[in-house]
Amino acid sequence: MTVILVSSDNQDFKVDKEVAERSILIKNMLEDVGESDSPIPLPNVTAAVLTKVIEYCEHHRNDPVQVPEETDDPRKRSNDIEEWDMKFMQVDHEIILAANYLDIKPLLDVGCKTVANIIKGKTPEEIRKAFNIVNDFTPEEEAQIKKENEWAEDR
Amino acid sequence: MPSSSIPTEILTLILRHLSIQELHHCLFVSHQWYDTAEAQLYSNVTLNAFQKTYKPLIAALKTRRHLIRSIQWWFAKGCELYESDLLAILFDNPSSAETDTHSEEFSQDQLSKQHRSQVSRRPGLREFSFVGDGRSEWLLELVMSNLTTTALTMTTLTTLTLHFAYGLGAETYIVDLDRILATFPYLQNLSIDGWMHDYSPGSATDAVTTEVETHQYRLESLTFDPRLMCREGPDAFLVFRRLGNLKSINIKSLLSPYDCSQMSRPWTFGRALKENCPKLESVDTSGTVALWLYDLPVLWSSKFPYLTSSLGEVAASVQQADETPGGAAYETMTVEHLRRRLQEQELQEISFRWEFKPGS
Repeated sequence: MTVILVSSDNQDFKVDKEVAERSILIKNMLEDVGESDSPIPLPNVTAAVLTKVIEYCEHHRNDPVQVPEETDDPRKRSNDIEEWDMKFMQVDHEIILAANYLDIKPLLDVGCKTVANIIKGKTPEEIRKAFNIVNDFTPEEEAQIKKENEWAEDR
Repeated sequence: MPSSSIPTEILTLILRHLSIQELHHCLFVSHQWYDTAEAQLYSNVTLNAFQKTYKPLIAALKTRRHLIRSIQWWFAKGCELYESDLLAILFDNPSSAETDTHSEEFSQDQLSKQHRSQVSRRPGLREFSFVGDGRSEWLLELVMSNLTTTALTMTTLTTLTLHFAYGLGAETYIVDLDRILATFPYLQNLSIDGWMHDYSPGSATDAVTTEVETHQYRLESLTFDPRLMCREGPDAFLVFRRLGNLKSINIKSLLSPYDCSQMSRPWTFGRALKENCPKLESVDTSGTVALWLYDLPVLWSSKFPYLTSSLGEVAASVQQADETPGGAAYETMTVEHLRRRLQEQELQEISFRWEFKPGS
């Protein structure tokens, strides 16, 4: 059985139901609607991103549906990303936003770990450069932050 | 990717994967990153007076109490010094409040305003780990009595760990299990282990209330020392009537089992578990837990995979002890001894019960 997903720029995507249901948002929608052929609009996802998300879901269609583990270590490792996933994530960070919206936890998780790996080992200036962020602190504010959080500096 | 495209919600998920030092770098990136990294940095803290970061960290925490979700606090000799730190961070301490509390002219409005701001700045503590020794018992008392008055903490705290790390002090901290459970009815995980602690006798008030229908505690996992099974009094295990949600128990021992096995009542304990805790899935042991525990018929069930598998180990070790006399801790314990010992144990416990409840 297939379902039709419609991206924000009005492109139709025909996808196996099993693949589409990797997204908890879509799964819940299908359950609420019941048997129906009507297309599912995804106004927050562009066609380019949706193509990538579907590619991910196709690749992982046979994975066991992940049980959310809330007991996780807050500073858990981010170096356990599958090779395929790593190459996949190099493309576009918008995928993270789409994964969050579509509620695809494994994809969101891989996305966040990938970004965390980019941050690691970088100075604040390098982080700003990597993410195209403008420094909005005054020198006084910076000095204040440095003073208050000194304990964390060499930990 | 422009910074505006990372919503704070996602940034929070990303920063969870970073170490303290990496989070420290993130503080300086931008205002948005500062707020997110700060919340992450102070949500889960370890305080140890032996680390040179202790003092600056305490100072930073005093203005960030509301960010704290989990604390692991190491106490040691001379812990009197920590009292003010503890009060300032965990509890609403009037003397440290910015407003002048000595003023008699306080209007009702100002008072309630101050109260509201204090409440909103209280830590929403979910986990509290206390690592100390018997000598720091008054400090634990302080925590307990203050937490009791802080309704907010009582409802948010789900994990409480009391670990007695040092065996040097001569004093023993008496752990009142019933009181801890009554104080924190929302606890899901409770762990009490280590050196130099003992358990108070079972609470008689519980015996009265359990006659009527009582509510069940939420506790799902309980870690304790085998000495809990030495609890005295007819009401020693009545508290288990309220532990119907218990899923796992972990018996952890740092002392020789022979120190307490004479007064131990494993049968009564085992029956209490079997009667009251239908959801129990696993019984785990670590350290030198007395052999008879593994051979206790009331605990035998398919529900205890670990226990049954360790029985194999125990049988092997008993056999080994037979073969090499003097070589193992349980040199005199053969399986036959064990059986006889268990029978004696049950008789002893039954007569013990008669002493307390003649005619029952």
